[in-house]
Amino acid sequence: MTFLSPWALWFLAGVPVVVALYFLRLKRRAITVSTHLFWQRALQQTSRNAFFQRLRHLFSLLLHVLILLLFVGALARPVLDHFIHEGASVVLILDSRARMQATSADGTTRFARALAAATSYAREANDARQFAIIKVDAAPSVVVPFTGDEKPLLDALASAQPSDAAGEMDGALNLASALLDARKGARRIILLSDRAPSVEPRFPLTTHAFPSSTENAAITRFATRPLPANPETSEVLLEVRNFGKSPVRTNVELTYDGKPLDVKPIALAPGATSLTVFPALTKPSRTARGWLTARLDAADALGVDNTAFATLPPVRAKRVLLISKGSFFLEKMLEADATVKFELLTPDAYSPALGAKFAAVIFDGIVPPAFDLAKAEGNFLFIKSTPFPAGAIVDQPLVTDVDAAHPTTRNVSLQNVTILHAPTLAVPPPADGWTFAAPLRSFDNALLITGQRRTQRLAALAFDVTDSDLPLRVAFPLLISNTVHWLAGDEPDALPSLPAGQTLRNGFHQVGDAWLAVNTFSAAESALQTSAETSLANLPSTPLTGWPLWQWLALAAFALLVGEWWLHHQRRTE
Amino acid sequence: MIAVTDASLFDSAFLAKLEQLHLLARRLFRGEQRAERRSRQLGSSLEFADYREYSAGDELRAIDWPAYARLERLFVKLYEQEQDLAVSFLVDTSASMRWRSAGFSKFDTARRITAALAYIALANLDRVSVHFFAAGLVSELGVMRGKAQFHSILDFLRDTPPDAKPTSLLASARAFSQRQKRSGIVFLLSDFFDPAGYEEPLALLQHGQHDVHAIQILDPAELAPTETGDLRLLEIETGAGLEITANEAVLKRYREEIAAHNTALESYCHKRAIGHASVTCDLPFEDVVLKTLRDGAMLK
Repeated sequence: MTFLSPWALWFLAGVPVVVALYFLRLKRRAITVSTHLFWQRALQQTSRNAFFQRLRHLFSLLLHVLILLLFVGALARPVLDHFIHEGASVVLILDSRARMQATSADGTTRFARALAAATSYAREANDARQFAIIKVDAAPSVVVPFTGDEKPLLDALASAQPSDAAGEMDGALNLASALLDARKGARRIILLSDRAPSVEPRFPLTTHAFPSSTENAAITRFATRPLPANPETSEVLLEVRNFGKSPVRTNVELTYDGKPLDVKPIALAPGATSLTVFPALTKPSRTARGWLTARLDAADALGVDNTAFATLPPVRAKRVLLISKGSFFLEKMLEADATVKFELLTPDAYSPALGAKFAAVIFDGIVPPAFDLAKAEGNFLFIKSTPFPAGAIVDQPLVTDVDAAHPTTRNVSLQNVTILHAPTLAVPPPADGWTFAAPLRSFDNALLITGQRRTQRLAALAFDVTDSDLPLRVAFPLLISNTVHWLAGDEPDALPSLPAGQTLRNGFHQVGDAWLAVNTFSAAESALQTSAETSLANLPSTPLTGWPLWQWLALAAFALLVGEWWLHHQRRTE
Repeated sequence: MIAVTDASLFDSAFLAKLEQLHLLARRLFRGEQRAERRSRQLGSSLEFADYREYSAGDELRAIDWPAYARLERLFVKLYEQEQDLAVSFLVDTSASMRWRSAGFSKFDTARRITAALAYIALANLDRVSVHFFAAGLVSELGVMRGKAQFHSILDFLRDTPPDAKPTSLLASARAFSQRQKRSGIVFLLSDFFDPAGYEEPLALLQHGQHDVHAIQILDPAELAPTETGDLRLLEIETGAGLEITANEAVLKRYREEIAAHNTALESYCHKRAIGHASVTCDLPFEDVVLKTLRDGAMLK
């Protein structure tokens, strides 16, 4: 037994005071009566209790002294050496990941139960048994460093909230081990989670697992992308998976800026995945927010993964400069593309400073006189005339290789396209930070060269489109549009969404002018049942000791005080 | 202490009620003057009692001549003679009777009852005497007769004996018996808290051919005390102290003891044909006189 506040033992000097007060209190109230006759007879009847009467005096005194001793004992804050020995330094790891929001049959979440257990532990904090708290969400973080004061621990726990993020427990265990490395004496890690960790830490580990219902259906993917054929419209991909052991029949509701858009029934066998595509969503206007929400109408254990968020970014027309002496096909095509706002200049009016002011500059048949790739600013498309050294003219070159994966040639079919002649071009070696590729080839000759330097892009079409039947093909607007959008930095696969982080809950978050959609999208979080969970049943259920010893002593003292008060009023004590 | 005065004792309406009452005499007593009560002594009233044979010296007008005509023997008619009654009040003035919880003390109540009964007795032309006693007879008021003497009785009752000594019922009864040779009605007004007991004094009074009536007067706080805690009980008569811790159990035993004492007194009186009444100070006085004493078969 160790007393954390030994100074309180000075209050033992109050014992003689209690004894003195006791004897002072025995001074009796004097009352005049007409006769003693019946009082004496009444007392004679109770004379058999005389021994107990004397014992009662002693009992009263002992009771008072005991109450004082209990209060002094509580003030001295005794701690059993056993506790000091066992847990001189304890790291509490509070799992706050999304799956801890899963509810059990009684409506409580795993996180709430873990929090209650953590609070019980935190109340045991004292100078000889210090606690630190690590919270695990997207990444582990030390919420409270080692302290023997229960107040910051309880304050931190009181403000703790579960996050929507997925994360790894291993990092938290490593962090806890790193914290304990710097400590002396007995060290322990207490993990409050829903499953046992996959790695064994270097220090003794006690795991309190809080399982719940495992029936859960989750939205695992929810994404939008513009249709390649029509960037004005987008399609929406929704993936729903049943992580439970029972089949799920439910509806998924799609809303657009808060207004219902579509409802589709979904039936999922255990472990099955459903993919749904909602086609042709028009991109929002500038005033719209473009919020797209999918909601799974399922009352399962985990609610956070039943709702997913995505955004449709508003259309922003890209400024394109066409330097040409006149190109009917190009001009008509650029006019028809609503995502492009093009301006036409003659070659004489062009100056290099204009390049940086437009998303893309198209040189039709010319290369500016002093064009230098190393210094040029802006994104450029050269048609017919390129800044690269051209070789001999090849008549009617065949298109032999089309890189379908390259953004410029995606969905572009150039089969049987006739080209009258084209110069031979070789893919230039990397220079001045530029790297080059040839997504369109005729054997070894490059018909289209693309180059990239950081965010700067360049494309060079080796032949004159009017010397081919390409403008009459569907491939022409696709090729030019793909190339212009690629030059302008329009990545069709770039989704304006972020993984859930420490501070972002699921939903829409405004970053500048754009809205970001934040989702959990983690099979690990949605899969409430894991193979590790079966082993949880074998975990020893460590009793969560509620109150420290001093509180029990104070409670006993208070109870005795109340009892003594009652006995006193019953005239059973003095 | 509240003084017993004419105004506080009775009003005229109450006195008028009392006049309707008659003291119950269980026996006929020999008396020296004519009163409203019949005695065993044969006299000259109109009520025929018996015959006896004529003897020399008898009044000739007492001879029943019609009987002589029928039987040819001389018989004398005997008539019951009405006689007055001696009514004595023995009032306990000991310190225990002075104890009070509120309002009238037991002594006050005893004096009020004495005044009421004395008035009734005087109205019936009985001979009334009042005796204060404690350890012995303290003072007494000689024989009074007629309502005109009522004020003398009130004056006597108003003069409280100064020194209240402990009670001795036996010594007082013995002194009374020695003084009062003539039999009559004796009202003994006390709390009967004499440690020496009440049996012998009552028997002594009864032995003197008195019609004894025991009126026990108690304070409500004596019957059911409520004080609890660590107490030092000071006896008012002796000044002795008794330390107790009064709790519900002790109070319950106390109530049982005093109830047993009162029951024993009542039972003793009933067995010895002694009139008994028990009153408490908090009862309205009219009720005490009219109801309690009627229940005690002393008035009708």
